[in-house]
Amino acid sequence: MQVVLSPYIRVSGVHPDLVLLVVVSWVFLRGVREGLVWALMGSLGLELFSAAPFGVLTFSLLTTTIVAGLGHGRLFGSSIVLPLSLTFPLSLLFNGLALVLMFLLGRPVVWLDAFSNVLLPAAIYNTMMMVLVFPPLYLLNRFLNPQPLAM
Amino acid sequence: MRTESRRLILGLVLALLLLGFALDRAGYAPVLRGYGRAVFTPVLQTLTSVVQQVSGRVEAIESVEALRARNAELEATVNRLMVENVRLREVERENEQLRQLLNYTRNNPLFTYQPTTVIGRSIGADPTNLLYFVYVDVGARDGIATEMPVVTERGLVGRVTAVGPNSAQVLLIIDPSSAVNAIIQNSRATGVVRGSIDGVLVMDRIPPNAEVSPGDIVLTSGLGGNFPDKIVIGQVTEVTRRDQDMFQTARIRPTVDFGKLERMLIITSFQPIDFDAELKSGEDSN
Repeated sequence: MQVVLSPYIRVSGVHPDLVLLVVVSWVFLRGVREGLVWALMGSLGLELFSAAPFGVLTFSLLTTTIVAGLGHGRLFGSSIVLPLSLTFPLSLLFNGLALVLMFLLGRPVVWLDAFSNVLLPAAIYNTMMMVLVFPPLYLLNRFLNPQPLAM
Repeated sequence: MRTESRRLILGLVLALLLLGFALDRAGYAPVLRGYGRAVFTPVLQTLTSVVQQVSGRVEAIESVEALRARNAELEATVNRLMVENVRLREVERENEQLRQLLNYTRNNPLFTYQPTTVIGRSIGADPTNLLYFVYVDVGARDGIATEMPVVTERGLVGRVTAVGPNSAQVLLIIDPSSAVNAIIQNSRATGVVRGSIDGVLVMDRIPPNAEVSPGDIVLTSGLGGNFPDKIVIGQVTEVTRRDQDMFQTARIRPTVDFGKLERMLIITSFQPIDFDAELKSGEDSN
């Protein structure tokens, strides 16, 4: 879906990382173990359609998922505040890690341009899109795992 | 008593008829009719108006159902026409794009287009924000191979970097890993056009004494053998010339709108030159 949608939801040259948003949301809702499963599946899907060297996106997304898992259950539970506040740094981590790995594999990178024109706008866009992505996943989680009534 | 009254009334009626007949014969009837009409006309007008209004209301009530049915029918027609209009606009747009591509092939007879020249349709872009690739819905089964140049009627798009049976991956010239040997049309100064991570083109390695100014057109030079020559790349927007640098640098605005890529031409007849292989085979033959 990200491959097909990305040309149409591009703003100022960047598009939201939908897979990242879904995985991060799920980590906050269900924990890092379930998040890692979805991160692995999602990143393999991205690898299939990306021209990046194989493994770059998987490694970046799995690392980001583990870092996101550190915040699960420690801060604000499953409210939207946590995902919203952490999406920005997690997005920077995901794209920055991928860029570093690609640089190490020989891709030319102008770091200042990359940060100001891609990493930063993408992090802002991802944070804004989290407002739309998290609530349906929250409801899906409630639907799949109804809370037991307190006795 | 009753019989006498009936006779009296009958007599009066007969007398009136005879009087009227006599007056009519004498020419007074139109005058009397005129007075009568003058008296009754307002009443008739009022009555007519009331009857017309009542009749209109009744007809309106009766036709509500018919109007509803007609309205539904018209709405269905409008919906059908809207869908058809959208389809026709898409067809018109597609027709225009294909016509422009056809014009491009006609206006560039230097390329020997094979009948297998394929018009690829963009089906997606790279899922990351860090790479500039698109995928097209033609592949090895359509005669596509790696290194084939990709163009639109507006200019150079990139080159094919990977091929599957039914799809191909195209590296856009705005990607940082892309480098195209280019020439400035007016001054004939050469350089290398590179992409950057923010999707703009930069031409570097322009000789320091070359005349370059904003507005100059940049074309492929054909040097290096990776692309055919004389394909439009873009227009110079800004020139950077510093004393300490060995070369000039220019920012290029690409003629192709990379955000709206839909249809492209893949030049299947172009054979890129692999200099390493050529040199090696030359050494072997010696």
